[in-house]
Amino acid sequence: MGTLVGAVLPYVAILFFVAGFLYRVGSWSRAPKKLNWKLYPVPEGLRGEAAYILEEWVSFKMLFRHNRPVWLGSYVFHLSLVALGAWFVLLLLGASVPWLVRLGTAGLFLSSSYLFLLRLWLPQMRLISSPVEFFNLALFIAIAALGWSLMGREMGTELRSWAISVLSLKPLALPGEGALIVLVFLLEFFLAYLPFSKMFHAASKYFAFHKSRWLNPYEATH
Amino acid sequence: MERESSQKTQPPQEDKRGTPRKKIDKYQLYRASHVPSQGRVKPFLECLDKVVNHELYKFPLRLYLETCAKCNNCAAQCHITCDDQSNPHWLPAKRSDLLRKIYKKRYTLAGKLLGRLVGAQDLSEELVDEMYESFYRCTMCRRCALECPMGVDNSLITRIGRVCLSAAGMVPNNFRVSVESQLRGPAKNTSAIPERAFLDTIEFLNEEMQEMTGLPIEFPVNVKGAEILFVAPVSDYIMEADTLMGNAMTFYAARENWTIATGPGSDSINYGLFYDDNWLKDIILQLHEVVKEIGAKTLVIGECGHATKAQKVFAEYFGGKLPFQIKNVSELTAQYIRQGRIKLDPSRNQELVTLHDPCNQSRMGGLAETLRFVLKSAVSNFVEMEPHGNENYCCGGGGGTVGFEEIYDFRMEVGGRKKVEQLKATGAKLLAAPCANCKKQLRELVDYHNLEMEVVGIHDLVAKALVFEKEEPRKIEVVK
Repeated sequence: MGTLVGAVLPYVAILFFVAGFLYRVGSWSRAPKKLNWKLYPVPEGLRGEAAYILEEWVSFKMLFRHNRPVWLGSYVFHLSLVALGAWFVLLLLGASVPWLVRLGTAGLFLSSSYLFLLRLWLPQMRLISSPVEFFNLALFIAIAALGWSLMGREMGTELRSWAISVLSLKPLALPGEGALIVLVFLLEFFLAYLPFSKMFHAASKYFAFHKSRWLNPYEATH
Repeated sequence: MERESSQKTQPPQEDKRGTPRKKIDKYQLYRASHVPSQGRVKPFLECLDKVVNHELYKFPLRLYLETCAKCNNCAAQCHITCDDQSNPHWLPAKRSDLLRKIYKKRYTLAGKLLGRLVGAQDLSEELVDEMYESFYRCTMCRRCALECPMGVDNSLITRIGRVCLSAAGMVPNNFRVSVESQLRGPAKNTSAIPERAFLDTIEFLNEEMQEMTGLPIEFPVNVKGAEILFVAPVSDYIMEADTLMGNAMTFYAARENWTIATGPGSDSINYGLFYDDNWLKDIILQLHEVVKEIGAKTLVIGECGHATKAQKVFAEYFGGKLPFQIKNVSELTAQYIRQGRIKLDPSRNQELVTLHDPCNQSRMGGLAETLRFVLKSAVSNFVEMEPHGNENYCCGGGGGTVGFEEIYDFRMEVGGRKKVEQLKATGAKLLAAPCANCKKQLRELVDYHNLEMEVVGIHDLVAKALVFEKEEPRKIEVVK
């Protein structure tokens, strides 16, 4: 099992991610853009657009203004993902920052659970949710819970060697811990699933704003 | 000219949350409409097949249908649901889901394999009824899209829903009758006004203007070679005499070489925009023929939001590269003021005025500042309603819904509630709304909610403020 999840599935997951990414982004890029569906205010120039998007990324201001309960969960959730991503990169670079992984994991668990319950609790949120919305959140809850259960076992070094072995195409089997194997499996599943899911909005937002809301395809002809 | 006012005035009863006490029937519109009740699934899906692969919609529609995060941010921005989200049929994301689940089932692998687990569902006759009701409650004002974190635009989904419903024969009667009259009727306008009656109205307006100003102001009709072809919504000739006279007086003061036209050139309304691209295209092209025949360099649309949008958004797609420009009349008036071609004396309009931003002009047309510039140049006391400009709330009658008497209660008690709150807070006596659609809804709201406010067009006030070169004492009453 350690070999399958450690040495085979990482490549399958990466393959799915890359294929899904290329398929999704490719289809959005290639699709003709002929509808002048501008919505004002339209930021001025690329710099203005970048500033607008950056402000949204940093603050989630749209949710903050209109839906504070969801903003709270969503903001903590995304910050936790950033923390975990940063921790992983630092780990690969050889720096061990245990507080970062604790913070990220705790934040991910709490925010996913909170969003799950909020979706269940608020009638209007429940009404617009289908099982897949709960599944996505449950996936993060499981990942965070497993991650937390493994915390403090000084696995950083082993995990680093394994990740580097995968990246250098000389994959090692995962160390024998059951929970770790399940955790890595879930992460691999997430990676493969991401580009095909609605959670792919880091990419879709570029198209929704830059290529749709702020675009008049006929402007060049004037 | 007497303004038409609703006879249905009755005091609204609201609880503390502002929730209407009157129960709004779930299938109010459907029950009142003469639409088929069976055999709609197949034509609906055939149309959807075409739309999702159409070069115009493939990209945005699929993007919007695939990426909604279900955060419900839209509900907080919608004028219908911002204060009360208890009715599931009115939640924007829920409404879009009606089409989204069909899309998922039909065009996505996950939807085909996992069905309802991923929110996918087959289309049923029942669902068609629900869509008809729901898509005609949305006014397509696009306020919910303004701050959607995903950039999803529910109004496009609503519009495509209506397009597919139209293919299945589900079209509100007033759309059907108006479009039929505009494209196939003898009068070639939505109100079926015969040419003789149209010309009589023009004559009457000419006399009125001349009596008011003592100047030879008139509407030039079918003048070939005119620089500008001015096309108002034809309903203005019945309902908005003051706005039209304001338009004519502005052109006169600016010494513009302009004309209006009869026949298909008399009406800028395009209900095709709201439900059917075939009619949208035919009506656009029918008007373009007139512009070309006249030889005008600019097509100027009167105070009408959707007519402006229909032309500005779709004219080039359907009409190719055009030998003329398209402008809204307020853009032109702003240009005259900036160029010093007209002079306005704002002291002639001293009553407190507020501006309603028509969604199709401000949020969708980028004209928020232009409208303000013109209005503020013509009045001395102006107050903004909050929020305003791009963030303004819909009047509650957009997307063509103002024509549905069947949902009058809904428009008055639910759709227009937020607007009434805004209006009350301004304390204004005059409400300038440069859109025929908005004007009708706002007048009905003012009557229904007993607001002490008069609804006017921007050019009604421009007319009063215009200073002519050889002006005789004005016979119009200067409002103080």
